[in-house]
Amino acid sequence: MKDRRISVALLLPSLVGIILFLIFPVVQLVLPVIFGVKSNETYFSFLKATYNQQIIFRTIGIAFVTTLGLLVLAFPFAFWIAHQRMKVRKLLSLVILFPMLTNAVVRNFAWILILGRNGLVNTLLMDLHIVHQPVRILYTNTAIVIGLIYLFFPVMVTMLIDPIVSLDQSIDEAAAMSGAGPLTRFFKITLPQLTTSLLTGSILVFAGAMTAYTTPQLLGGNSSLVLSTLLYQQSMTLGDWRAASIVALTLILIALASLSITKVITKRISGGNEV
Amino acid sequence: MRQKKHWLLTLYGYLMLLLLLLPLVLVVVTSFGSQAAITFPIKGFTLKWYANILSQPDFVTGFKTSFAVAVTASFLAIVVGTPAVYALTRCGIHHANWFQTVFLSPTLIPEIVIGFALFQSLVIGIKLPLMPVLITGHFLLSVPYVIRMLTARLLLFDQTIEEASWLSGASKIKTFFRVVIPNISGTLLAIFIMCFINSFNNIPITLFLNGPSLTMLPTAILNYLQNNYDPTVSAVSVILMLLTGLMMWLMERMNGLTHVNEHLNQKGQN
Amino acid sequence: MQAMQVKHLSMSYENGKEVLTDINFSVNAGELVSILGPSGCGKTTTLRIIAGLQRQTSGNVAIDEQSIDSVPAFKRNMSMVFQNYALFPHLSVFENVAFGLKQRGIGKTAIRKRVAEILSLTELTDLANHRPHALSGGQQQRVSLARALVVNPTLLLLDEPLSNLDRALRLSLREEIRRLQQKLGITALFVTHDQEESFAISDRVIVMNGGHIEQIASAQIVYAHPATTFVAKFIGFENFFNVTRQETSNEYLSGETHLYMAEKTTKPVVRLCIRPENIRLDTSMDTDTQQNSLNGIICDKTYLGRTYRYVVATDHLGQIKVDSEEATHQLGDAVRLTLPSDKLIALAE
Ligand SMILES: Nc1ncnc2c1ncn2[C@@H]1O[C@H](COP(=O)(O)OP(=O)(O)O)[C@@H](O)[C@H]1O
Ligand SMILES: [Mg+2]
Repeated sequence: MKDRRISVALLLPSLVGIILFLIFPVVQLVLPVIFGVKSNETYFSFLKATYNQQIIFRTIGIAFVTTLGLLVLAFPFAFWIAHQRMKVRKLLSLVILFPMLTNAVVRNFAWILILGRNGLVNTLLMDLHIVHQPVRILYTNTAIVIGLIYLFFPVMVTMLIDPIVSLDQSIDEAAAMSGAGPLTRFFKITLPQLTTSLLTGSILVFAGAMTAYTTPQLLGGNSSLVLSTLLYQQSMTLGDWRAASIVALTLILIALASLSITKVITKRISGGNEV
Repeated sequence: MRQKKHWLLTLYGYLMLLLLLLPLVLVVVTSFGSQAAITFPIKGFTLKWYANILSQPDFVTGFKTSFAVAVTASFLAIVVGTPAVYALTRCGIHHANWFQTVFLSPTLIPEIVIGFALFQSLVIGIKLPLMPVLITGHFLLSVPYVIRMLTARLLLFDQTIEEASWLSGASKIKTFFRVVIPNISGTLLAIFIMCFINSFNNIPITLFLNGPSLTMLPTAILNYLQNNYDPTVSAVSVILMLLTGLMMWLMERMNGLTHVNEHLNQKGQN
Repeated sequence: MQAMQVKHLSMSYENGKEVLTDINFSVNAGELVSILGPSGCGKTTTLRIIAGLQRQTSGNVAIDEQSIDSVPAFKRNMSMVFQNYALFPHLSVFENVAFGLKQRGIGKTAIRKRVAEILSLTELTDLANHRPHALSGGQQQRVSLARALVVNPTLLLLDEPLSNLDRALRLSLREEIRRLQQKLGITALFVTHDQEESFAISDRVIVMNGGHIEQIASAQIVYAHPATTFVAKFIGFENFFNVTRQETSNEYLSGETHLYMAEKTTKPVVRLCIRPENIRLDTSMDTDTQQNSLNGIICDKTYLGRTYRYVVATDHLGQIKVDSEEATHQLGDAVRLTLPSDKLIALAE
């Protein structure tokens, strides 16, 4: 069939590009970790090292707190935007888009200015005589969490605006007619309709926070290593490629796991709606 | 139309808006301070840090290289990705989902891992020079944008218009260039800009693939920050923000911004 | 002369469902033939196969006795007017119309002259520099028509071109299509699901149903002599009586009722039918048995505008629908129905 041949020809360049330059290198990277000599042993000894365990738990903890923080902070904000007039909403979306498109170095540098030893926060605290010595905020887990929340806040908000806007107002009105107060309506009517968006948004942000590099590098530095900064350190600074590959595999597994969870959730919920 | 807004929510909205923009404003403000160490409140007013950017060879060459790499990679991604999208949306391919997953796989694998993998197998493994590998990495970053944004556009583009063109005597190829392309050129430009911004700003992949002979702007700033803490970084940041603004303005003029948000959502950011 | 022929055309989509079964018909040069049928019966599929936009499973399409199955769409020199206009959004009205001529490598001055001609024929001259989105639906469809006519196609295909327009526009544009088609001597195939539209515009009508052809005939014949129950129902027959033929070939028995036809027929009749407006409704309760007359009671009455629709319950023929301008009959009235023998239609299936 001629048509089939043409469509294959159209698909081939990008397909080959991705398989050759992405999938192949990644497989080459993880295969030795999974099937290499004494691979199990190395992998488990990596996991057993307290230093590594600390980093893994820190990474998970940071991502978890970031996600929770984002849920709490972004949801009302998205709600606020969703309830604006169309024009205002468009404008606000642009305002949110701007930081999203701004270089991560810039965004994190801004937080260095704020959280640093002579930064805005410390200056304020000392001027107000709340503290007499600069507080150490930069290069702590807290700084990373703050930076990540700032980084992902626009992402989370944009993910929530559309679902909130497209909520069917008449369902809410029907509930009000049947005597449900505003709070009941919010928790029993509005929130359940947004569960999918909240969950998928959270997972996306969680995975993003687990694998982000620039923020933990700039705001955590070497004193607060996470998996991604550990990967860079092991490979480029220490030259321990085996360890780096193990970290890489761990990061891939995290990303794929969150993808599958998202798929399952969206499938189950959309499937449930059809019934 | 909508239910009445609570004043607390409104207050919260403005507060968060402020918190979102304040850090960036702070960067702008500090770029004008005359003291070498950044302290608050800033003192004096100067433009010397902007002048200082030009005396940092890494920033200047970094800007040029980053620009060139971003343009090349975005262009490549569009040239290679567009036919694929056309095939996926027009040729009734079996298992189109499967192809879609492959094309979007660069977003599924953490960028830092992509950088490491490319470095290990292409630079160390088969001894390719850094530059082509770097462009490859940025090309991989851009492909998902092309696939997503263009698929959305082509699905909206009425196929009977193409059929009308075929029946008017234009072959499929002619139709593609004379009817399809002119109608999606705004989207293509928006895609190009998105890919450009994303590539220009990228750090995780770039980090592994730059070197003494290959300076990229974001990593150059990162390096500079390790040894210095002066308003030069603020000044560069302002330039980068202006660049972002310019790109957004361009996209808005192309009417391409409307859908950008959705596509950004799908991707965690470094 | 037969300009276009479709022979034994069958089509199945990938899901295996057969949507066209053994379609055979032809369109003569200069003729406008319409395909009439309910939505989903395969009209569009037929048209797209003829245009070369889709590939049939079997059978073939011929132009002037020459099979064109291997000719790609862009070389078939056909034109199509789509339901949704399908104008090129990035081109002006002039450029839209000129597009096909350009593909044929015609010189600039010749193009300008030819386009101007067609634009004036379709009364679009003033809009030549507008973009499609600045036009109303009716104007867009006229541009689409101009674009289709300008290349002087061997066959003009129209796929429900009027469905997206309001009624007044539909009527005027359909006359315009007919006028242009005849003036330019174009051979055309017009697809519609609207019976009135199809009858008004075409030389011959092809009635389709469920992927096959039910009848091919002139509008008058289809109207007066539907070939099948489906056609009869589709064009407004309401009363159907299953019958068996008696010794004489024009006497039929439905239950205990004798029905007589004006014409004799030899076909294997199984059913008679009649339009509601052709039945006579009287109050006079004559007891003498007139031919094709029967008694009944009015059990429903609906105002339809020009007429009333009465539903009359009869003993042997069930409920019969009658349209009458008479407003005086009331629910429960006993009435007498007469089914004129020359208005009864015999159906073979
Ligand atoms: N691409 C397709 N795949 C599968 N079935 C189709 C496709 N296009 C049309 N059909 C089916 O073919 C039948 C005829 O469709 P169509 O020719 O569009 O009918 P019409 O134009 O008379 O409304 C319909 O039952 C429709 O569901
Ligand atoms: Mg149709």
